[in-house]
Amino acid sequence: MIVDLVDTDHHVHSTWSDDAVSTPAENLAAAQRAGLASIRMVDHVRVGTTYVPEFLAEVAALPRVDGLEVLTGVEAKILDASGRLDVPADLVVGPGGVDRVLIADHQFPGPDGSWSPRRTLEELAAGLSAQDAMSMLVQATCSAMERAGRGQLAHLFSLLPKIGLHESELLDEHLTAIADTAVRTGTTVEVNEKWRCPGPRAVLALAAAGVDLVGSTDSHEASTVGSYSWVAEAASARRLVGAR
Amino acid sequence: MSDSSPTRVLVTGAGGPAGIAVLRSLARRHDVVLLAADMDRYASGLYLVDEGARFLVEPGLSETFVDSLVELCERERVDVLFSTVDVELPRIAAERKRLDEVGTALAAPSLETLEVCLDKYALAQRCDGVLPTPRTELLGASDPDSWDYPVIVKPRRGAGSRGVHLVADADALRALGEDEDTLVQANLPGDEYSVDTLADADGHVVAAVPRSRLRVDSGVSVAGATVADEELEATARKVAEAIGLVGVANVQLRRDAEGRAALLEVNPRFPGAMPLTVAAGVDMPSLALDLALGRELPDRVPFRELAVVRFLEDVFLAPSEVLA
Repeated sequence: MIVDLVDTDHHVHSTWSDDAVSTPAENLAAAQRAGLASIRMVDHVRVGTTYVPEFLAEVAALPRVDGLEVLTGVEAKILDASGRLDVPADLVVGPGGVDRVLIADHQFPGPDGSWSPRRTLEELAAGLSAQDAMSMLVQATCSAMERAGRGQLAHLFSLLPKIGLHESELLDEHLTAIADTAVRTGTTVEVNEKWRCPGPRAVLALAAAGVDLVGSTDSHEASTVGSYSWVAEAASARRLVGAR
Repeated sequence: MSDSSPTRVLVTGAGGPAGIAVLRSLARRHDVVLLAADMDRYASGLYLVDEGARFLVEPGLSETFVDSLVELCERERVDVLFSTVDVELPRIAAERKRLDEVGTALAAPSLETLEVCLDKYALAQRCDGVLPTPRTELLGASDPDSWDYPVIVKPRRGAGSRGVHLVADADALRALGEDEDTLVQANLPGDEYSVDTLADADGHVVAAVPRSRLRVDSGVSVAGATVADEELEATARKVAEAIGLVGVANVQLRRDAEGRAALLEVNPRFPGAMPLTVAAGVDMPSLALDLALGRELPDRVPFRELAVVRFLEDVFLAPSEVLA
């Protein structure tokens, strides 16, 4: 079954994330109102997070809605260039656990750990080339996909503006590496409304390579679940690919 | 950060007059994306920003408040954080480095400045000899017979007018005991002024805008006027230098028996009456944002004399839009 990007919302936070305001039940009702075919309930984790079983139990106990698939995930930061993820050691992914690990570029994955935007800008000023920085980020992202097992790239490339880079500086081989790894590892890639990324060039390249793309609002309140404007355009770009 | 990418600014305390003032000022800038946070879902400032940019946070005194705020700033890629909540500010300022590590600059004076302002005894000691400062002693270390009455008694630490009262004579002062966390201060009989003061990264005062508080309702100024008065401005400048101010503080002055402007206290944050100062020509939230971003500030920003009367405003919403 081919589902349009805008009929999915695979990145919806609930009150299990500190600052979010809506419960899973409220997000489910919002997904139903928005006419979504699929929603992924996702909350933030770190290495010390302990709530995941309770979160999963709450989602599992939600009433079933005809025609609406309910999936789960946890969102974790890439910690370093090796693609290590900030997840609890006992996290179960797959049957009995979360459906996917959302891989987030909250910080730049440096060889010695997360780099703050300032550190990254300093490294770039001190001689790290934009191409090398891009390659490190892409490499770390690919390694994180391998490690996650069942992953989903959350707001891919949303970090770039913060470190003075732009998707136009990505080489085709960068996009090919991400696409190949995503296909091989079964990683989905979200097209993110909130951060407006990845851009049309990357979306087209990933779609053409057969990557499973999903829509994402990155909502933390029910009122924005399934609400798209920027992604709707990316979705029509993908349809162009399909028609080729 | 590249110039083309808008600056993401998070304002906490979105329900208070200071939070609203900062939000309304920064909303006029086209290079800013505003995010708002409060512990209360009915905080009106939450609804002055876009849906999706509204966050509920833990109370400022909660043990994990700073941890979760730093995580929020990291995830939301906040460039600059404005805290307008008294109890949060020193806690956040103490963790400025952690915020810096996730790419967030805190638009607030240094922790050292905050601490000297929040300890009114330390503040009086710091300013004594630099500018007219009323005699200030700890209750337990003070001779009740040595004062001219009435005197002011107030908590050593704490914000606003909470716990401040006049004591009529030595017997009444003796009856208060010997609390080390309470101050006795000479009562200044003259008119009171709030001076909104902004100092740049070098501590140079860019603007000091005295305001009279013509009417106050529940601690909030509801009528006031900016006052061009060299002495008030100069006194506020001296205070700013004495406390090492970088950023915005609200310096409260009162005229003493000789009519000189003397120090009452310093609130090291944005005051709720800030819209008057903005309208009078000094957009301090916007200048504070530039300061936090490391941009050069003008050497001096002038203001004009302007009066204000204030009223409550309404934000109408679909019931479903109120955060659940």
